[in-house]
Amino acid sequence: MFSYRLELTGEEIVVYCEGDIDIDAGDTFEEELEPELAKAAVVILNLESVQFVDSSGIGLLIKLVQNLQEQERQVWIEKTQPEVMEVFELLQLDEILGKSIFR
Amino acid sequence: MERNVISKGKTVEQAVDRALALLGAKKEEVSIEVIDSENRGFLGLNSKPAVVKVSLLATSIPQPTTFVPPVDIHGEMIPASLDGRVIGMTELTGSTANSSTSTLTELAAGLPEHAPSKNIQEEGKIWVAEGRICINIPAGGSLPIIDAFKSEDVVINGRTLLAGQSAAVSGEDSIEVKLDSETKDAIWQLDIAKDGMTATLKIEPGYCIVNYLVDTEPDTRLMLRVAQKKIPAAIDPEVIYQQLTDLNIIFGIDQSVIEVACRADKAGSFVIASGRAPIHGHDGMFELKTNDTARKVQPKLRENGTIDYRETREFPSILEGEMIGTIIPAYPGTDGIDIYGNRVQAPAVHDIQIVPGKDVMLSEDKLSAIALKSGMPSPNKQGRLIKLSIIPKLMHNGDVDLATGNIHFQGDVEISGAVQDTMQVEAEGNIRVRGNVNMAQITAGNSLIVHANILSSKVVVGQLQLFHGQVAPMLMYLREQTELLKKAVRQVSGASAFKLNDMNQTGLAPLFQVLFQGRFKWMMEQLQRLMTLEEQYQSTLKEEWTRYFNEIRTGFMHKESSHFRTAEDLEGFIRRTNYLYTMAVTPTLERNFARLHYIQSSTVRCGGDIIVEKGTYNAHLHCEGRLEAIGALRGGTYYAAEGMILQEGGSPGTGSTRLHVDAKGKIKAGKILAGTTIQVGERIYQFAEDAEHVIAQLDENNQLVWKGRE
Repeated sequence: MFSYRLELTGEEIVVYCEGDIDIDAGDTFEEELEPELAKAAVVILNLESVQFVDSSGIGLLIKLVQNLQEQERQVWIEKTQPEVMEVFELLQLDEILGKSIFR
Repeated sequence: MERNVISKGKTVEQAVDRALALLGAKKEEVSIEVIDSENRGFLGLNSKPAVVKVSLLATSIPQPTTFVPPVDIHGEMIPASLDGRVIGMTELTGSTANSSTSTLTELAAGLPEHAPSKNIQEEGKIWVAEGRICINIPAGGSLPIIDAFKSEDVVINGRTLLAGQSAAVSGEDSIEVKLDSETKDAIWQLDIAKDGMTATLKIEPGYCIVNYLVDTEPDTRLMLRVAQKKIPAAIDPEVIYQQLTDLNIIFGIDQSVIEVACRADKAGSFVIASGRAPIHGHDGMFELKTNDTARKVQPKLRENGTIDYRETREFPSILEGEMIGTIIPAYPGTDGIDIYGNRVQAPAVHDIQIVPGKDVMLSEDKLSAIALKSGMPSPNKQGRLIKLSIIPKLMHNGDVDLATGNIHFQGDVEISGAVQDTMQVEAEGNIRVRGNVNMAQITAGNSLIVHANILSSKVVVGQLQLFHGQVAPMLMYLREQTELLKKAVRQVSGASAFKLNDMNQTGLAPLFQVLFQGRFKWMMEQLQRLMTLEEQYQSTLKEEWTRYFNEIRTGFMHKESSHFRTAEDLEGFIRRTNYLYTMAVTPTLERNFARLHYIQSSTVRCGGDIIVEKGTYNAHLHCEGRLEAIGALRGGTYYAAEGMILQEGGSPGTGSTRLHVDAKGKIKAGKILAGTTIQVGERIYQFAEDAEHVIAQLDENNQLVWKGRE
């Protein structure tokens, strides 16, 4: 089950993700999370508590980041678990989202 | 002229023998004068040698200067030259002279009273002749001097001379010169070809490098000079034969090559045994025996050097009850033999079988096929089977116009008149139009012949071949990409943090969506191009293609779901892609062609060759085979994958003409007008001036080069 917690500091918002980013996270991502990020100029996605992903979930993540980037907002993904990072690397997320996305 | 030698020996006889050897003469050719008989003395004390003077008789004098044969130093021989000089000779090596320098000097000093000579030389001379050191000391003469050329190379009476040292020597001294020699053995190796058909001897010949003394003129001092010569060392052929025996090689051994190889003075490879290759037979074949004699006529060579294909490009046709063709049985090959004496089988040959299709009957022996209806025989080879059917023919008398309606026919169509405005003629087989084609559309599954003009029309010939030509490279790319895609799916599925749950609902679609954005960026574009191609050829394509394109649509193109759920599903798709690719690149038995007369403001696409009999004006021709134009191509675009040959290309002041062939093709043109652009592969060139006898192609560096006269 996917959930998240937000922490706003000035123009910077940190999204603490928890649970799996998978096909079931679709509604949460598109209907709740994305509108909440509308105000922030800098968005940091903290994936420390994400242990599993699936292809649909990665699709959601890509779409979210790309939408934010289109609005010329700075996005970072941080503290990704090594196992999850392995999946990201296999799918070349750094190519799709820009090399500087992970920190 | 007289030549004589004064010789000493223990006995008179010995002295004479030595003198004869020195003169190179026989006893009959000389006169002998005993100067002093030997005196053995008492208990060896005061013993004296015998001394004789031997003179060559005038008639038998050979060459007055050649008197330097080897002489043993113990012989104590004192040859006399013409003027009576006394010569002491010493052998180069291995001598153990007992007599000291002083005894020789004494001896020389004691001689003059016997010597008949009057002009006594004061200086002893030393020289090298034929590699040996020679010394001549006249009676009372001084001793000649030898210089060491290198430390420890010259040994005199067992004592070495150091570099720069010199020594006075007499004929009695033992002078030893150490000369190195270097020997390298021949290296050889016998290589047997993997197929056992040849044995090759690789040889690096051996040699012996010998140092020898360079001859000098007699002088009072001798500076030795050393030179080298290289003597090749042959291989004993027996060792080669032994090796062949050890390896059980018995067949096709060429002894003469072994002889030559063993004596080779340069490194090289020699095939010393070779088997006999099997002679290939041929598979069974099907031969059409139609009445289209015109088709069998050899193409004529025209005066300008081009080939007249017109007579060879006709449709085969056959009447009811006629024999369509026969099978030529397979002809087996002849077995060969390898160098071990084993039999090498000729490749197997296969017979071919006719499968009778529509309106075809087989003879009793099943070797001939007979037509049950008139039409065009259509042989279709599939492996070892020939599927043979008769394609019916529709004869249309007069024009095709609004009154007759369009023609769509699953066979051949022949129209005796013209095809008029906006009309369509479509046939699965061949089409022949005897009149004009005007503002119309012609689609021929096989080939097309138009005897008159094509004006403002659209012509498609051999669609299936056209389609195959275009789809093949795309399928090849798709096959490679899907193979990589399969690997990527496997990799990701194996990652520990990757959940596979959603695949049950959506298949691989979401994963594809991610991959198409990343590593497989170009795949989506390629898939879309395939979809466009399908649309273009929809009407021509058989079910297997339609099914395949549907699989692409449901497998890759839908964002939400895919019927591919695992990497193994992709494996099946790769197999089907490969099957269709093979179909697309397999050449058909009969190549399609379009033989046209004059073309203006029209588009012609042909899967095979295009022959233009008169010329074109502002036309767009595209063919997957060759284009031949007997007339001029004026304005428009012309593409022929395999190459083109034309009489004239270009248009004076009527817009540009573009001639295009693939990288391996050639453009041959009698004349190309200024402003015309040619393209070979990716390389483009525009002619600034008119040029004649042009041949354009890519060179080995992939650059466009053309020959001709501007």
